Amino acid sequence: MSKVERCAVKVTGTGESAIIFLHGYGCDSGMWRKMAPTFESRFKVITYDLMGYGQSAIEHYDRARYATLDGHADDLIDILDELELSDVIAVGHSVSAMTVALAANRRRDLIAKNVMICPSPSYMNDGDYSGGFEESDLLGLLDILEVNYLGWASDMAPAIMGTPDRPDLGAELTESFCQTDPDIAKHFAKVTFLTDHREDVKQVAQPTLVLQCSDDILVPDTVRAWLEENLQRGEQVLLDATGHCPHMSFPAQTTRAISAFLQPTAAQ
Amino acid sequence: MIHNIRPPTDLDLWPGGLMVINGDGVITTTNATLRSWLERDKVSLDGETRVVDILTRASRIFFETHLRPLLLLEGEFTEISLDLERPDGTRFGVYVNARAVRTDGELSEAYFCIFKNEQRQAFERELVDRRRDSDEFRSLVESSPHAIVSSDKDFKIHAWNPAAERLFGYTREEVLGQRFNQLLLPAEELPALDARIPDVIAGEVLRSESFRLHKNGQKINVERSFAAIRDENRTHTGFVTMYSDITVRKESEKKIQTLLHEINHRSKNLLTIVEVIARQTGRRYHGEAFLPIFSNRLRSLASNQDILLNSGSVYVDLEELARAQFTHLVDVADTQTSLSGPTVHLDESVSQAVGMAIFELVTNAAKYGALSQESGRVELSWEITSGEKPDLKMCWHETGGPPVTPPTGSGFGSQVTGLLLETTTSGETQREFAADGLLWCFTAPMAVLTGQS
Repeated sequence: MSKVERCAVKVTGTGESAIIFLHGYGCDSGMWRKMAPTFESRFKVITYDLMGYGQSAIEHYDRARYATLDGHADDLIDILDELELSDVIAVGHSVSAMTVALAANRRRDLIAKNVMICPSPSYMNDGDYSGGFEESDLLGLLDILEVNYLGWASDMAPAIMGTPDRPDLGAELTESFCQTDPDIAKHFAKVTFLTDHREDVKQVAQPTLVLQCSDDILVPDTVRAWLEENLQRGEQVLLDATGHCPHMSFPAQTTRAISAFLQPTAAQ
Repeated sequence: MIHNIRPPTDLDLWPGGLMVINGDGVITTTNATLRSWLERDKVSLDGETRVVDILTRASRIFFETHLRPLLLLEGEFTEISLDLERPDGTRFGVYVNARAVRTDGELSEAYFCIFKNEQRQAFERELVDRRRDSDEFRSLVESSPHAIVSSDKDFKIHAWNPAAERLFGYTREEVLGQRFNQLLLPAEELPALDARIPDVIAGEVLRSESFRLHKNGQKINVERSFAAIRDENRTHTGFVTMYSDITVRKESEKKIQTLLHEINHRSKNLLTIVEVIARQTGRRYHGEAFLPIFSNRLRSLASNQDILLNSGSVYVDLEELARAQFTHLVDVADTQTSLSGPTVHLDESVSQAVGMAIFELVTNAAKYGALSQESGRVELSWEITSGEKPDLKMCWHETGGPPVTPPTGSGFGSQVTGLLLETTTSGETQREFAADGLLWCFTAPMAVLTGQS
């Protein structure tokens, strides 16, 4: 099974250049519904579900492989290679902005430009760096995930071991937006909120557009300042938008900002 | 009068929290119930506070990563458990249903129904804790280096951890439902186990070292503990067995046993040789002359032992062995001796005999032969003959020494360079007392010398 199949890759649009969209933590490629189509007249547009989410083949969710974002970065590289693309524009929301950074660092031939929507290189406070969260906040999030997924929990009886075979909830769960296997949700939450990618972000050499919202509880001012200082070829734009998902709440404004950044490419 | 009647639509009377937010996520309307839960007044809340500000930090992350996207795309969410936070930092659990009003695809307003659910939430948290305990226990079993297998009362396997997969070669899927006694026990052990089952059910834990079958049919040496599983009513529900692979331990135990035998054998041999040396030396040397000769001969034996130990194996390098025999002759110059020949690894069983023979030659040469004067030379060389059954051919050639006279008697010295060596190695020795020095040659099959026979 190819990576393109495993990650439910969708290719639409026509154009010389390709633009690929990676959704963030918690949801799936449905996030791009309002924005991706507007690029179809100028670009080959690619969207896909991160392994473990949406329509991806979650039986391939290997905890060791996806214990860091490297596993997801490998997926991105595999998908672009399978589609025989190069010089791609990679758009990553939230945690996937870091996945894009990892892939961009590893394969400069593959990714020409990055767009990071509401990125944070590290959510945890660490010495002078203020990421906005403490580990206890993450543990609280895991509690909330547990409680909200409780109804779907497979077997509450304390089995001595082994995952009691999960009834075929998987398919049903992933058909609805923003829902996935609770164990995967918790696993990916840890990967998202506990990993520090500051050094990776410093290595990014491609031109990178950073879109931030003025009022985003996941990305405090201090993180924006850190990115301003440490992203080599970064161009940070503060959208007149609130929340953490401007591509959903304010798709027109977000699209305009990306188009302005890509103008030279589009004109070629 | 009319002023005293509250309209039935008065939201403040509702026993649930009600809230409206705008497209920016700012709270525009709340009812009195919610405000009293939050211990906030209307002025500080409505129009001033973002919805995320009444959430705990963990709930904020969940709201931004899951709930706001749900509202935007699906238009609603239901039965979501969240934690709200009061200005003083205290928090309480709620269930939330929400519905969005979207204009041109964008969120313009969202309506929230909030139900306080502290009791239920406490229960849920309890369940989550239990589940975590159970998860923790499960990962403990999963990570255990010991194979753990549990079964029901009929020995049908219902749990099989990764260590068991590694030890026995079967995957979990292959064994679930199979009877472990039929799968893992060699047939001859079945009756013995059956006989002990009543004891195990009665509470005994069987511990033993035994053999169990691998998927490939091979027997694996294991240490196993076998006990009954009981539920909370102390009713017997099945069996649990833990296995550790003790193949390596068993092998090293066996090695130690062999070594002990070896040491015993060698010690006896050594004592015999010491006795022979003492007897032979005593026959020829008396009084004060005895001790230095006897000591020297013992030292040669000891240096052979050192070589055996240093090599760390049962093989001894011939050149190293020969060189060691010269070490007690500190006054012999390097230019007087030459050793040459291909690498030969002597088996331990013959190395002592070869070493002692060379030692005798060295000692005699130093006393009476070529090494007794500065002009003398000794050449010890060896080669391996070609052919299907190659021999080692070794020659000791003295030159430039004093005139040689053949010895009169046949002492221990001539035995260790002759008969003793020949018997040990199935070889032959030849001696020629030429006028300018001794020529001694020794031929023996390589197969015997290297322990390949």
